[in-house]
Amino acid sequence: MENELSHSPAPLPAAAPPGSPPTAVSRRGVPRPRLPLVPLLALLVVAGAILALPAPPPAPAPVQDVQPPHQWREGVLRVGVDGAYPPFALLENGQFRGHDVELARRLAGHLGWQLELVNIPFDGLYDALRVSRIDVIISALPYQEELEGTVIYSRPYFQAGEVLIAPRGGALRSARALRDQRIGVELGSLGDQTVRRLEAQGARLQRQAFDSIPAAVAALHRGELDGVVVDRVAALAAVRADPALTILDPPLSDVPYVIAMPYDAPAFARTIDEWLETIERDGTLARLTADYLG
Amino acid sequence: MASLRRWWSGLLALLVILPALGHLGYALAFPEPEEIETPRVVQTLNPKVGIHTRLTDEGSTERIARTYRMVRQMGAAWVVEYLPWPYVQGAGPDQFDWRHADRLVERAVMEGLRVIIRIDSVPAWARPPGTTFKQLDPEHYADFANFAAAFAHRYRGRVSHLIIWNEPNLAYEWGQRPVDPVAYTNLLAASYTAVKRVNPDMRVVAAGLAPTTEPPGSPWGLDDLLYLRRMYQAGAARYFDALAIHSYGLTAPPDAPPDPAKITFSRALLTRQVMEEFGDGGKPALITEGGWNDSPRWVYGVRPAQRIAYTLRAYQLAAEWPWLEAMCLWTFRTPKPTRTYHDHFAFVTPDFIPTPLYLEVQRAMRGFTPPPDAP
Repeated sequence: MENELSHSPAPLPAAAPPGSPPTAVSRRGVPRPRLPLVPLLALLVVAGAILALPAPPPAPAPVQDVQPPHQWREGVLRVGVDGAYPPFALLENGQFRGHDVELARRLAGHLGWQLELVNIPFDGLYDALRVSRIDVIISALPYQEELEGTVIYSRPYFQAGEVLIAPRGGALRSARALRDQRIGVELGSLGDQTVRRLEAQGARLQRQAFDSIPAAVAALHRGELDGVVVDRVAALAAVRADPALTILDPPLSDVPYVIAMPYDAPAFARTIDEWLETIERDGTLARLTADYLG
Repeated sequence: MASLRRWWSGLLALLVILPALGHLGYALAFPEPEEIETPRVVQTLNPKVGIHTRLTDEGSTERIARTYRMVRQMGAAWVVEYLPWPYVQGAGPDQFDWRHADRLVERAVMEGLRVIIRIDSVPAWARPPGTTFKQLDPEHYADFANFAAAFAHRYRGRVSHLIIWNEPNLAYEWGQRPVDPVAYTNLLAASYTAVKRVNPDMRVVAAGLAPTTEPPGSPWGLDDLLYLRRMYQAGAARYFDALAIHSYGLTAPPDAPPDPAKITFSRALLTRQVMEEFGDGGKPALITEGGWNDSPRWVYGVRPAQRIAYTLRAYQLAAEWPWLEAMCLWTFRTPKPTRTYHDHFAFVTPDFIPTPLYLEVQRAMRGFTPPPDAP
């Protein structure tokens, strides 16, 4: 892929082809084209009418993907990933593995390009993208509204926000309209913050704080709680470990993980979005999530 | 006669109506203040509890006021804030713009908080071209000292402590140059002398050093304990009233035994030992930065529950350490998300949502959780 929009340059003037109208000779001896008078007058009338109209706004400049020299032309996709955040990415003994690593592999395969994984600590990912050290970020990256306009985000490929887990088939069937339930949280966590927010909004809950998520889930097993609010990664792990638990809808907070791309690569972004939509529709994404997250 | 009576009646009516209209117009043009504010009082079970705010880039008076109000409501009595020298004298050595500083100090004082201000950074006119804003050469020490004195004079009785510079044992904070404890001592001496001349009550505080174990010759900085010793050897003791300490716990709990080779919260005790070693044990110290971080994506992050437990214990230790005047942890709030682990130092979010840490500290310091709309 080269440019976002292919546009043809204006054709250069060419030598008169055979069959062109014959030329006349002016009084000064300079050849001039012999043109029919009536069509010329008609052309002048039309031109005058056009000139009388207000000038149309200038056409927008064609949008182009300004691509780093390394990118695409050599068929290499450089993906920035923080290899210290399992189960999304873990770099161990020189080998990457994890949900996002597999997602990157499949994306490169879809594009027919070679994959190059670049291990970058989370705090340096955006800077690496900005200086074209990498072409995309696939690294459990939460969507950041305030960065719109400096990068392009893909559609979400994972929702990492807080959810409520509860015993499957129990009295608690929904995370909507909670009232009087005993809800466990990890003290200080975003789940804790979420439940405190619900309480501040008027939900009458019995919030019980624990030092860790496993401690809260253990209390749920013992029947001391009606539900536990945790992030979706922890929830999937808990449900995988114990099929008697389930995740209740709706999610209690919205933390979508997205792929970030350079702002000047809108066509590439569209390609990625279309691909994500496809693998979401055909179940590939769900299977990937199940393989790595539960 | 009747017409004369009507004339007098009209005149009287005018005499009554005109002043009333005039008063109304004046009132509309020059409205009285809605309410005369009186300073509030911090209610806390631990008067040593404080927090470092970060209002350097906060342009909204409302958000500044809200920050200090929430600090007070948390039960913190102290605040540390940073005032860059270029904010006040950026236009030149003879021009002072106190507007930002005035807003900070005024709002903090109205909330009943004790204010510690840290000054550093260098305006362009006071440093060579092409240098960083942290490079201050000896020929401009007097300019910096004049600024410190102007600050001390202006905020007499409202700001109690003035910290001179920040972490000068790091090359970055020293203008990307090799660190120099003797040079910093000279800067401290110039500032102390100038400040005391105009405001003897202002407590001049020696800079908090970055906790680090960098050996001599490192391009990044110098071990804080070693740097402090060299300051004392250069005669710094005469030029500060209190010492600032930066005390970060990283992954260790606050009660972890201090070890000169490790960065722990209890490294503050080693700093204190150095003060005593040089016969300076009579001076207080203040922790002006410190604490724990609960980012799941930072190698030095702890679990959120640990962060709460460690923070509460650290504030308790502050009460137990008689030599410690205040403990101001890092940080209350940032104006915008940084999208890095730094966000996980904050006590409230950029949009002022209190974290569970804030609420737990509030419960511990005030003994109860006030309603969200409490004054």
